[in-house]
Amino acid sequence: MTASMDETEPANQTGPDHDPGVDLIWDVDFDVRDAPSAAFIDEVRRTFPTEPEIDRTLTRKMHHRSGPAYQRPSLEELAKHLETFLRHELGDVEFEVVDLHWFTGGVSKIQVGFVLERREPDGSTRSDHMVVRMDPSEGSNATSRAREFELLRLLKGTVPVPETYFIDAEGEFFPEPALIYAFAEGVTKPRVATTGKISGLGTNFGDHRRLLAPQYLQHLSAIHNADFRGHEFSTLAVPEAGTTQAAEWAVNHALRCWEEDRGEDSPLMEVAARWLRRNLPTLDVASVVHGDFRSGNFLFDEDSGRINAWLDWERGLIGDRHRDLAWITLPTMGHYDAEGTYWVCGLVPLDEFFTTYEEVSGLTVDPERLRFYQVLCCFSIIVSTMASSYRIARLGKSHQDILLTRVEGMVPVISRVLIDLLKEPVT
Amino acid sequence: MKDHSENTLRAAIKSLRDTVTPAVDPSDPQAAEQLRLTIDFLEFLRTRLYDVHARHRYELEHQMVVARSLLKDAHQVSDRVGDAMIRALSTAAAAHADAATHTRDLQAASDALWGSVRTLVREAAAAPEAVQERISTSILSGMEPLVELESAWYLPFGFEPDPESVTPLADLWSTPSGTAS
Repeated sequence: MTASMDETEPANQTGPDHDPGVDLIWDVDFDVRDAPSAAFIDEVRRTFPTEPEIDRTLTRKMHHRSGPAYQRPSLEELAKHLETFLRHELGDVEFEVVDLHWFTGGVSKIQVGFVLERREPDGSTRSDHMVVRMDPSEGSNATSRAREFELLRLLKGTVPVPETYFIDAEGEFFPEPALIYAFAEGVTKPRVATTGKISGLGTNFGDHRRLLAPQYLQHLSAIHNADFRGHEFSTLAVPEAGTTQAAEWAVNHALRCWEEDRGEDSPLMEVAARWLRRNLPTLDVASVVHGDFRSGNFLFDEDSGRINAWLDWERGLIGDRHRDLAWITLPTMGHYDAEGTYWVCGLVPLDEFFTTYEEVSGLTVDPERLRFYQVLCCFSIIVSTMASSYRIARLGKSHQDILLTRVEGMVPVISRVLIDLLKEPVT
Repeated sequence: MKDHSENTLRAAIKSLRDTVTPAVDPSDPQAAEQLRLTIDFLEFLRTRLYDVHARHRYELEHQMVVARSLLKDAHQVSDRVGDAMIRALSTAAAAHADAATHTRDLQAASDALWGSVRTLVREAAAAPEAVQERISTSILSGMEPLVELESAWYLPFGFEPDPESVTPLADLWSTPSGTAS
């Protein structure tokens, strides 16, 4: 794969040209991150090397940071962008965009629904319900729409995912990068569900558990066992099995975001960063990883209990399956019942989860790798909720600044988990 | 006249809830959601308004405990690191001891102190393993009262899995670290 943008030329790797003015050990001015200098961007890239598409996406974020705050476009403005883009994509085909409307619920992405009516060669009209999924000026996770598009295409036929239609990878037609995929029917939680949080976190599925839990495990297993050999990827990098490359990329990704976004110091994060660097595990086999495989990110039919679509692949990658397992078993992702039992994703009791996963997937769960990725997931969540959210809201960069500031409330919950994990002796 | 900020916040919340909410376009779910979150945050701020200064004092006090536990190892890493931490600690102690210290100055002292701890951890990467381990252990122990504060502070946001176990803010203010001065 390649990274072709000018702004992602290779970072300076060597001494003589390296700008000594940026000192990540001693500098105390966090406001420089509001409008980062080329030297700062270069120093962070050099210090935390990661896979090319992540590097490209984060470098783009930093180059765009000093730009204007997010201004919510009107639906009329979005319609103009959409029609220009579709004209480019569809050529001479007659088409019309109807019923353009906002969706709510997306924390990090702007989502708009519409119906595309287009004339078929036989003269009939075809109608497709679609969704535009676009970045704000800066999201709480700076991720690649092109990678999300590539993952959705890769997983088609493996698990239910929306049909993909169009991609504006660099934001040539929309204000920011955007993808267009099919609208999927379904709900993220039962109409009578109780959830005290946001974005589908902690959903209690009640009677739907019985129907959803087996599908949840089968889909996770199918993703982790997906065969990607022989595929040519433009945005996905495949780490080498038998090495620590997958873990190294993931750690540097998280550390880089912390360094780019934070507005304060945290000794806990410093200790965790040190621990992560010293405990990189070896990958046994590379898997597709969803990255956020939890309630709120799948749609199901409330009558049949059938899962219709897995959404939000923005954190997806090819790497270690333990990254998914660690993420979904964190206490903020599931639901505690009245007896104190923790339900993974609100669906499977934690004490049964790993055994059942091993049975269904035929893959093993390595406790040490699980612990490593639990530490990494805690670290990444604190980056998003304490550092990235702060920076974005400070600069007014997203459509959900008010929501992003609220997720600070997750920091102490995750910090406690992180402290406990770091206190455990390494075996 | 005494400060009426809490009263004004109540009025603002009532205005948004009773007058503005019904006027929001029902076909714009994002507007409705953000209005609800805004009201919710104003209500949160109303309950925390007069605790902000106490929070900064509490944090600085416990940050000093962490920094003091690291001083010996800081000097072992390098004199520059140790001296920087001593300077930050001295400023912090003076700010904490003076009842007239402004909230912003408490925060500045905290920032400087935590900056010196970050420098220590990063500079210690080349130090003997035992030193690095001691530094990590001291920090992890010292962070617990600070995380306890954050849990209490953000409790209304609803992320705590066991809200009953969270110490009330008022109890935290009355529990001295014992080693702040």
